[in-house]
Amino acid sequence: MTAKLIVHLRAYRAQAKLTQAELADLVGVSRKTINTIENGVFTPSTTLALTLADELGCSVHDLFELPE
Amino acid sequence: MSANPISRARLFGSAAIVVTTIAALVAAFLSVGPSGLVWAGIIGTVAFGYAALSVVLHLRYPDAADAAWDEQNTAAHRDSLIFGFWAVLWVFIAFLALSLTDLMDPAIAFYWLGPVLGAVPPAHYVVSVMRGRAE
Repeated sequence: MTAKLIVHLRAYRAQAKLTQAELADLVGVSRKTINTIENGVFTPSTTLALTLADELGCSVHDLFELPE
Repeated sequence: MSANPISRARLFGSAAIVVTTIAALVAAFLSVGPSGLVWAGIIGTVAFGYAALSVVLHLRYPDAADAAWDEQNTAAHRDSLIFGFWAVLWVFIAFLALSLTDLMDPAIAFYWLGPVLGAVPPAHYVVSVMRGRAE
C-alpha cells in the first residue's frame, strides 16, 4: 500500500490563519515536518494526523484523502 | 536553517564529524599532517563535544528537543543508522578482501573502520537535511 496521499493541510492551515511554524509549535513537531507533510513528501503517523485535525478543527478525512 | 537550537546543533555537529573525518582521510591519503592517532583524537573530541553540547541543549530546551526529535526527524535518524550499518558492512568486506590479498595492513583496515562507522550516519543525516527530508 504505497498510494500517495492527497493532502489538504495547507488550505486548512491557511484558513486557520496559522503559519507552518505556528502549527508546528501547536502540535509539537518541527516546521520542516509540517512543510513536508503539506508537500506530500512525508506521511504523518495516525497520532500526528489526528493531532493536526484536532488543532485545525476538522477531521483527518478533511486533511488527507486517498487518490481515486 | 532551522530556528530550533537542537536541530541546529545536530546539523552542525553532524557536519563537523563528517568534515573532520574527510580531512583525516585526505591527510592520510596524501601522507600529510598529524598521525592517525592524533586524527582519531580530533574526531573523537569533535564527536564528544557535540554529544556534550547536545545533552546541555536537551536539558535547557526540552520543548525544542521534542520538536527536534519528532517523527520525521526520528525516521531520518533511523534511516541514517541503517545506512551506516550497511556502509560499515560493505567497507568491512572490502577491507577484508584487501587485507587477505595483502593490499592493506589489517591494523590500518581496523583503524579506518572506526571513522567510517562514526561518520557515515551523520553524513547521511546531513544529506537528508540538505534534501529537505529532515531538520
